[in-house]
Amino acid sequence: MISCRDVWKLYGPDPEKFLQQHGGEPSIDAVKESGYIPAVVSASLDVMPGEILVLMGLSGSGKSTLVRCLSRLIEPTSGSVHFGGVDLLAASGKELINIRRHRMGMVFQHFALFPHRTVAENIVFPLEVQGVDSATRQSRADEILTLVGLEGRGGYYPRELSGGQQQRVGIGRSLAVEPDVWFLDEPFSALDPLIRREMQDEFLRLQSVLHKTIVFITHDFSEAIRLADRIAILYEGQIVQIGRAEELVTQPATDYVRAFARDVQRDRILTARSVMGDVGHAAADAGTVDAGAVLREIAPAVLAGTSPMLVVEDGATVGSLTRDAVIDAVWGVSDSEGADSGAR
Amino acid sequence: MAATVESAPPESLRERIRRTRGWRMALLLLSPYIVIQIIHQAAPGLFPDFLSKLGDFRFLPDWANEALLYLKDEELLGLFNFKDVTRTVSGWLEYPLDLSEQLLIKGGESFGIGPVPWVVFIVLFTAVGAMIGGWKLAVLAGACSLYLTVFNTFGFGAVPWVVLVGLFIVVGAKLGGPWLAALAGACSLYLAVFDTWEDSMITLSIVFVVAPLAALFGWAAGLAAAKARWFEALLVPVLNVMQSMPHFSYLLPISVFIGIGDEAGAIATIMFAIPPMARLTLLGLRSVPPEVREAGLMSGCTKWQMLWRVEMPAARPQFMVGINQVLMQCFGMTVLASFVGTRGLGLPLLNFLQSLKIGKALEFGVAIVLMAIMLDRLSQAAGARRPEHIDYSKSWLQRHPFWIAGAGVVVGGMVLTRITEHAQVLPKDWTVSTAPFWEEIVDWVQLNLKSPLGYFRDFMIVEVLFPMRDGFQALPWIGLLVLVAAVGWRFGGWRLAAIVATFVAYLAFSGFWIESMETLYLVVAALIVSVVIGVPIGIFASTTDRRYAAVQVVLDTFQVLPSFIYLIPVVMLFRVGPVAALTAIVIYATVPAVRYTMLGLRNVPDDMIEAAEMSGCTRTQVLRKVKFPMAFPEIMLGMNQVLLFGLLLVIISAFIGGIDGLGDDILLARTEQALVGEGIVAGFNVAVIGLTADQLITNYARQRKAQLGID
Repeated sequence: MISCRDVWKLYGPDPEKFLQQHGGEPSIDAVKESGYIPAVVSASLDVMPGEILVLMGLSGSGKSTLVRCLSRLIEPTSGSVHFGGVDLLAASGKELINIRRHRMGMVFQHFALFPHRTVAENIVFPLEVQGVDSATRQSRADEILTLVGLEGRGGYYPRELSGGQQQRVGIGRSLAVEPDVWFLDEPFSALDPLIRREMQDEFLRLQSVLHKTIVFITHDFSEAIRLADRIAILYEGQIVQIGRAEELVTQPATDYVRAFARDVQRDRILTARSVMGDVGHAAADAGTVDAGAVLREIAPAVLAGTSPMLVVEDGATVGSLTRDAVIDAVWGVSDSEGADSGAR
Repeated sequence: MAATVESAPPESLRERIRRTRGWRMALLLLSPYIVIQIIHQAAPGLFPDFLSKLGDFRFLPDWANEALLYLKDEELLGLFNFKDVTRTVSGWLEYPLDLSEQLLIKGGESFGIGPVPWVVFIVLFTAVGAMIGGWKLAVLAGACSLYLTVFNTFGFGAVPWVVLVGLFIVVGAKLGGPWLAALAGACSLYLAVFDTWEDSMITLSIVFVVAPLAALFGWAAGLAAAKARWFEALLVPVLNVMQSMPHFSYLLPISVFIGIGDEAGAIATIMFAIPPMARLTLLGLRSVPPEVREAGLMSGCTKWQMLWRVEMPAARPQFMVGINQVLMQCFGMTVLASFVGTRGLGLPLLNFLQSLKIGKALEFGVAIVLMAIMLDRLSQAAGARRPEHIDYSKSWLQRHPFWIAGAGVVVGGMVLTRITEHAQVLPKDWTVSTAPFWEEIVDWVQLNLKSPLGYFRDFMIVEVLFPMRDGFQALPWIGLLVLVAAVGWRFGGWRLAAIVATFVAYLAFSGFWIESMETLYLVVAALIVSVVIGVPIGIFASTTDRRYAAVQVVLDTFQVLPSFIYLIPVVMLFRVGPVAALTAIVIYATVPAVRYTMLGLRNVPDDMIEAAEMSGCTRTQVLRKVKFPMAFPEIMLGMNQVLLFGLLLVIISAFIGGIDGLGDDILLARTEQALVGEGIVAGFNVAVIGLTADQLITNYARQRKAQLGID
């Protein structure tokens, strides 16, 4: 749906020239020494239709800049961005406006609601700027208000709502035009932990109905794990690793990723497949578990039995799972080292 | 110890100087100046005269005079005469000014004016309405201006005073609740009861024309600056100069090019009210959160939609502050505009003051103050309003109580005027005057306090002010230049040093060096007194929330008073002369001293104070060792304001006479057209003095705040 290749964003005097002088691929050190600030460094990624891709990184890691390069709110210094087959960076101002009007929606960290407009007017603002007539807008506003759980609040002003409700308005506005791609820039970071949890559930509920292609930004690894199909970890502007949560935990590309993965609840992420050993001489009658099942679900059965269980995938036996392997993977004695070796 | 010294990177001289502070720093910065003074005093032979006093340079004032004469009398490029252009433009103001006055006080009779200005008028008002309040206000403004057009075509009586007082009360209630309604009612009743109604309405009628125009121009300038960097780079310095030029300086060229009358005052006021509006518009548009802008972009806004549907409405609160400022400038100019023959409350005030009829002058002064306070509070309340959802469970009547009340007032008032004429114009014998009472007080003061006040005045003049003045005037200009440049270098590097040195050099070569020093000394004297009075009050007020709130109210009220008002009580006590001027400046300029001290101390983070208390500091230690150092940059910004306020008022004080300096030259130019150029240059000198202090202090405060890690 979206694919970007070698996207760079440098801040500093005449960054295009600097990139050209270094053949388009300067080293990070060269960039820093020359006094440029590398916001996004040679980022390449593909967002598949219907998936939730989470960009994860700490503040200053370039995740916000990258997502703004994908929507061209920020002009990348170099690289290419394709949006549903269209070369986004080559699009004219008019084409860009058209794409944004019909195919993109975005939710912002601090909601970015228009204070002078009611909730309903905020939600249908994207329709209003397209010139949609007011009767259509009215009915669309009612639909969206129901969708995001704000029935009866259409006439209120943003400041009259709580933070969570305000972000529901932000979500409603971003969905008003039924976009193909949905960008969410740390949408729940400004909310209290309990409300955040509730909004995450709400988000998953909406996605189960809408099936959008989603780029979701967060600095919270547990949020990333909860919501993501795939996670891209950013560090100093670079994409360090892209993969499913389990891959990040079991095969961290760098110590940076490993540090993030250390504190996660492994039993919710690791599947039988990543923990299992060879089929070996596991007894055929010990029972079976599905290869894709997470440990939390199968642990009671595995731990209760005395002999290893068989791991099956598509009807075929692919490995066996011992109690020790499960214990080691989840509560690994020497923390990361033990858990990692167990996983391998 | 030795090891750490070795391992530390070698410090350059520049860095070592930069790290010095306190008295060492002061000594360092003073040293070039001291050297110059020593040479100057000890070995006058070595010190060429022109480095100390420049001869009588008059080329700047002469050029200014000639330029003005040229613009006044000659054809520009052989095409048109500049003065004709300005007079034509000011002629356009005649229609709206006249209409506005008819509506409020004079009553209208049909007179035939071409239709074009009316179209412009209606469109203008509707546009301003749309700008600040959306379509509802646009409709209201359009309807009002249409009404005015009809009113003008067929002729009606002026708005009866009962209706206007009633409307002020309703608007007050709508915008700010019962207290504001009471305030608006009391203020507008005063105008009627104290027989200042007619002059008040003339002033108000000018404000009605001037404020929308100034707001519109300022808004347009601010918008252009927000959209084009080069225009901002051009506009901001111009605004700086415009705002530090004394009000009188605006009046000089205007009296030449516009002439004497209401239009001249209106145009001067517009010029003076544009800068704050332009600044606040720029600020408002710049402070729209980037996310909100991005939300607009992602919704697919075109540039035009972005401006009108996202940025403009989001910046509305700042626009409203700007409009409040415009209104305040209008009242600030009321008295000064009467110097160029503008009618209204200012003219009688000026006349009474000149003939030392203090009581009457006081009543008109209070009228201006009350009107200013009323419109200040109303416009502030309007700016603080935030939209609220409409409760449709209520009936239409319940949802619009104020519109109904307003309509009721208008209809009721109309009916009342049919019953009694007194509802149209309050009869003379119903009005009261407290003037005799005040005159008695003045007489009593003159009789009983004459000797103590006189002694104080003479002592101040002979023992304090004159020696100080002589000291300032004896300064060699090169010494001051070096001193100012050194301070500039310390706080802003060579760039700032060059800027401020240029300013001082300008003063030296302007032909008004002595006068500039004369003005500077009085302002510095006032600064010292203001600090001595204001800083302790600020410290006192910052300690508890209740004191803070109370002092804040007092300060806000003082802030609204037009500068000229400060002269009234001072003249009561000291008649004329430098002590009177000094006192007026001190009263006027202590307000920012208190405000900034209070602000600086209140902004010290709580946890820092708690840390000091937990370290066992006594209250004075907390103040001396933690709060004061933290608040010092803010207090210095307060000093900057004191200086700027002082400079403006020192010029105005020239009006009461008895002091020399730049104000005198400006005032002289007002009476003699041949001297207008000199007056303008003198006014520019005031601006340059202000800008020099401003540059130094704001750069210092910025640097120090960055070091302390405050905002």
